[in-house]
Amino acid sequence: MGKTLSFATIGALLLVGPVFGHAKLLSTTPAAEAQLGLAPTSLTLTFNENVRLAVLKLSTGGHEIPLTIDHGSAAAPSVTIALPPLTAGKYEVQWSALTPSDGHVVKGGYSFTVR
Amino acid sequence: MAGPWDVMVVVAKAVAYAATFGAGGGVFFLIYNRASIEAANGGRIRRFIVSLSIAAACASAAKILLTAGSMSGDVRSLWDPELERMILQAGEGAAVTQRLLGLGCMVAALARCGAQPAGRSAGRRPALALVGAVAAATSFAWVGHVHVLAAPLLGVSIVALHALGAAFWLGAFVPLLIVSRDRDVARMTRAVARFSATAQWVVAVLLLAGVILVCLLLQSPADLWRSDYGRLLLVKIAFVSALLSLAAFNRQRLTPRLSTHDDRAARALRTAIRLEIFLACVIMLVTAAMTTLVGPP
Repeated sequence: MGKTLSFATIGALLLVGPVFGHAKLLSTTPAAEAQLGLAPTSLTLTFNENVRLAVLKLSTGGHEIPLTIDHGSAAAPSVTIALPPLTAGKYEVQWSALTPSDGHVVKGGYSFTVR
Repeated sequence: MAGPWDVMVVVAKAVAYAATFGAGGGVFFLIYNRASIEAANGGRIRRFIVSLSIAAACASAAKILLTAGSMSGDVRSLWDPELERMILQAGEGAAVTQRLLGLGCMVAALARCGAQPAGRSAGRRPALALVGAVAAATSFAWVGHVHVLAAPLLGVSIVALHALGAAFWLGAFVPLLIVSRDRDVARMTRAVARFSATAQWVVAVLLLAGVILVCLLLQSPADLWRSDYGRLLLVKIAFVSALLSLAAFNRQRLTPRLSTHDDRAARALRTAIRLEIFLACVIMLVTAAMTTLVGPP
């Protein structure tokens, strides 16, 4: 009985394989701390697994720029949001996303500059 | 670095864990100890379960609202239906639905039992309360890191088993404290001994499930000290070890002395149970932090 249980446990562990942690942000476009000569027309966040973008805030000089997020869109590893015309300045990006597979929230922030 | 929103989410989750396991464990205690609980104490335990069920429902709802708030860091997001819909669609909806149904079954079964011992209540109420307790305790398996395993069903089953064991063990502490005031020492000793005898097997299963989960979630033993998740897990293991040591002391030293009408032993047992309740609450808090703020490496 004990041996059977041990083998069953080891077998189950081998079958299951490793688990991954919370979704991780792999890259952004524009990149963090980028100095851009031309204002970007869209913003892309790329993750290591499927996510649903929950919040994306873009602000400059303490003023938030309204963005439209489609909360009904399917989960995907990459999310692109269209940006309104941006003037010169430093822009702060705050984002949060939900991993539909495990229900966890990931969030972060970065900045870029339009010259 | 966790912000105030994250702290509030963790606290709400810890309260949901503690209240749900407390209510479920209270039902288990009433059912398997039905012959050893004084009628008045049975009524106290039932009222406690109903109060905890309400607290668990409130904490579960608060956790959803606070998660929405934490996503944007804005108070207005607490009431954002779009964000809440996203959260509910990602497993939390199924978890909360099952939990509320389970808590509802417990409350419905116990609310009208009056002061009778649970086992002597009429009809199918104990069965309904038991189904509710199992449903509420295992509801936490709907969300979490095991859902990204290659075989999530196995991981979910082990989490459910771990949660049931936690409810049985940790949820019995307050009922034990209530029963330990029973003036009929023989009856009180029977209840404590019965819990102690059953708990040793349940705790063995709980620990085995915990070890399997750790093996599934960590890729190497070094992750225990190299990752935030592993370090939090070590903190949890330290508190669980303290709780196990205290439980062993109660079982080996205090429980045998109860039958000799030793008042000092009864007082020491009550102090030990209060300490166990404190340790259980800390373990819930660490578990909530582990499952919210960090993920396995």
